[in-house]
Amino acid sequence: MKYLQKITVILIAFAFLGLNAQEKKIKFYKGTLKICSSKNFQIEGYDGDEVIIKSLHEKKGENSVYVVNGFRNNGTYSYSNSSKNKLARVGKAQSISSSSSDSIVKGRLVFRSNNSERKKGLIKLGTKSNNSDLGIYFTIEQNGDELLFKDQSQVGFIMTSNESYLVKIPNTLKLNWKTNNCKDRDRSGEYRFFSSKNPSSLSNFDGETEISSSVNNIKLKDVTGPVVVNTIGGNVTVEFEKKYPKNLYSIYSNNGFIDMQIPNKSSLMVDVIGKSVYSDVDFKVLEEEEVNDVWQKTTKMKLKFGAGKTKMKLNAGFGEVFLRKK
Amino acid sequence: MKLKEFIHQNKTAIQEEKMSSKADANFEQLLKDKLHQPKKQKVVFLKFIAVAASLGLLIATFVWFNNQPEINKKQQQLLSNLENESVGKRLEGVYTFNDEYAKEDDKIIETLLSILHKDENTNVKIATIDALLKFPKNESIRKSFIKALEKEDVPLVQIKLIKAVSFLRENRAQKSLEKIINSEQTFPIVKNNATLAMAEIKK
Repeated sequence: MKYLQKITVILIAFAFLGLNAQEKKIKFYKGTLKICSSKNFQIEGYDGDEVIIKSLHEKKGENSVYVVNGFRNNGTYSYSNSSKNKLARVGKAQSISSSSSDSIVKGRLVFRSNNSERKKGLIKLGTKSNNSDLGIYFTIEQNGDELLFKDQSQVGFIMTSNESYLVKIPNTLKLNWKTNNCKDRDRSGEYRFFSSKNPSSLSNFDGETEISSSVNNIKLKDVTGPVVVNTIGGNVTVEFEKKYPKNLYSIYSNNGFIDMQIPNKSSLMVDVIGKSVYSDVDFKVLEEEEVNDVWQKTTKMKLKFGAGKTKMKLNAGFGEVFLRKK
Repeated sequence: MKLKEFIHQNKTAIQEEKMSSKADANFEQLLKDKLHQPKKQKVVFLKFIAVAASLGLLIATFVWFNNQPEINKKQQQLLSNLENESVGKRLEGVYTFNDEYAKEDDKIIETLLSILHKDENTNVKIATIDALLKFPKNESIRKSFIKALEKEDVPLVQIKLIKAVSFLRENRAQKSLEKIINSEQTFPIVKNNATLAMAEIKK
């Protein structure tokens, strides 16, 4: 019986993989990849000259249900499909985990689209959104040396989504990733959160990295820098397995935590600010003070590891900082 | 014989003794020597001073020329980093200013102020506010904080600016703070900070 179960799981997995095997390749290796999307991305650097996008979710319009929430005056609410990852409540926006069978919320429309049979043998006309056949539901634009990924629905209504993408990018690019709308001025009380079980992540990347988020958690692995990250309430986790930090790391968070691995090979001068700093790393503490950051007491430290070559500025504000051995 | 007696006896002899005609020539020679000798020495001395001074000047110029580029180089490097297209480079510039330079250099402060108003990256702006806070007496910096507070709409930068004006106890920021508190578009966490700052300033 167990054997049968295993086979079923494997078969389902294969079917799932088969569904998602499609990918989009764009030749782009010089300039900046700009992402303005609250969707989940797993970005990986590699030595190549193409940006490769693969969707990790099921294609819409086949088995999935998508839910549209109406626009309300006092803010738009969006709900995550994942049951495990509850997001913090930030301001007007609420994020509630719900399943698609939940139909209690008012003003909510549930679409079931099942036209896959009818589409067989036909190609979608028009140049817009022609990537949806690949399961890619964001807009891709290229202007000179900038490649832009942005969310399709900008105003009015929000789609609940469990979308997740794997994007491979050349190490020669710069990455500028905003997990919100890229228009800073657009603050119409509308906050969108998409979430999935895994936080968005960037791994194995050597180019310049810039990430801004409001509440989304960010995970970096084997990113050598320069890294410039800011978040209001998101947590930032930095891991190293094969590489070590070689260029400036600058992380600002208002109240999320910063959790960072310090590889033996690195040579760091770390300025750290946070509610408290925890570590098992053999740092040389150069300075240490408790500062009154106007109305909050924070710990401020200057730590040296090795020769102290690479600058690291970690400011977790109200949050805590964890620096751990690799 | 006593001295007094001797003087008395030879009084006329002493008084009437005349200088020999030779003495005149001798004296003249002596005078000539005495008068000319110091003049020569003085000239040599002056020459020595002149040489020393010009040498000194030369050394000073050399040192100045050597040092000036050093300072200029550092300033130039800083300025070129601050104006760099790369966020990493700009941040490095601001951090270097903060950690190593930190002089009230007009040109650099001017650049930092333009970053405060124009830069697109949140980290760069926050680090710049930290750098500018090192000169709490600078009026143009204080005014710029108030101006930036009015226009800024990135929550993290807003919070940093609110903390800055509160730290400076900048009374003139009250209007901007009120605007932030009353705006519906402000993030709640920013509002909380603005309210606290308002209370702090009014204390």
